[in-house]
Amino acid sequence: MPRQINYVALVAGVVTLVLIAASVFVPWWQFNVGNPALASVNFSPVNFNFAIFNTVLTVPIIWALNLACLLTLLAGGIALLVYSVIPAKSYAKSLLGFGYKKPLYAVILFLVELFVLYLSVRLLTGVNLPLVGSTALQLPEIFSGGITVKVVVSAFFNWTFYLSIAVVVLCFAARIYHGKAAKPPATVTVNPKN
Amino acid sequence: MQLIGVVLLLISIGLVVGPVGAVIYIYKDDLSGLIIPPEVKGLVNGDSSLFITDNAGGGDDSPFGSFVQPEFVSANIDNAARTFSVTVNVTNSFTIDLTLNNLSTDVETPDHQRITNVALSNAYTIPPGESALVTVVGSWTQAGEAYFLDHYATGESAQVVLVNTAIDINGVTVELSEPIQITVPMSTSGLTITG
Repeated sequence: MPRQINYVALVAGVVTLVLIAASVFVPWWQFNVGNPALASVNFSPVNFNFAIFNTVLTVPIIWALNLACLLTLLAGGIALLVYSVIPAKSYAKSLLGFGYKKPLYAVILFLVELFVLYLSVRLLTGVNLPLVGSTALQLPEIFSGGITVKVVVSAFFNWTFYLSIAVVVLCFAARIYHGKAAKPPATVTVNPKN
Repeated sequence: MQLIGVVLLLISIGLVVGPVGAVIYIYKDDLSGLIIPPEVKGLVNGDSSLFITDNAGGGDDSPFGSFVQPEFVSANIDNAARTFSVTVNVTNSFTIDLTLNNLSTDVETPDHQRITNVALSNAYTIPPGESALVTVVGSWTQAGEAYFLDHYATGESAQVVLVNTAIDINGVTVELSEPIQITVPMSTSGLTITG
């Protein structure tokens, strides 16, 4: 009897692990101040830091939350991989339910945090940061003390953000495919009288 | 099946509570450390090594002092063309490439008679910890020349006012709307005069 495998979940699990590894080094969203950059904000659910003069500033509590997110995604990816090879077991659906939502949570968390960051800067400083693209921002006079200061800033989403969306789609596809993958294979009954 | 669900729930909680709890435990004696990066604390305590290169020199207590005090190297004056160039040695004390895109100012007498304008000859990129010879060029007006000959021909220094001063480093442009009064030494050391 051929082994049942949910191939969509298998691919989703592998790509989730790839996403985690890539997101540690390549931020989902990046914001640069100056050209070449004097400072930058590197933002992904597993690695959120500020860099000034190439020196990365890590806030310990944010580092802990990043680690928690990384471990949660890792657990989700492993659960998907385990589930993918045993989709018909009685506990398989629990593993799938545990694993397939994690990337979605990470993407939602990322978008909410990005929106909060954007709104906070806008409300506190009156500066409209671009989420995508490049512009020259004029700092409010309260910061520049009567001197006009314009700063070239640029922001962009990296390929890892688009990969995270692909992972979410794959995870939901794995959930949809579960019914088919968990169904026992059709058996052919041979009547010996014929 | 229910047991699996409980185990997965406990794992979910543990994966969040574990790292956060560990960091809170580490910083339990200094909770401000939870939100203030150690690098910033170091900078506040006078450790600027993460931002400033070791060979910055300058002897200035300010971490930025050695960058903003360029050393004069030479100057050329072409009397016939009424142009001049001044070369200074600028050291990049920071840990990143600095690109000087623009430096321009108008120079006026204290009673606001325009003498000359000064601008960067071209853009310069200075790697971290290295120095570069930066040249600014300018041309002066006949009225400015007459003013100088009348007021400072025998003096050791001259009072001038810088207006419309702008500087652009790495895309950060600073424009000074207020005039800056400076004293220019009238030394001929390092000066080449032609024309």
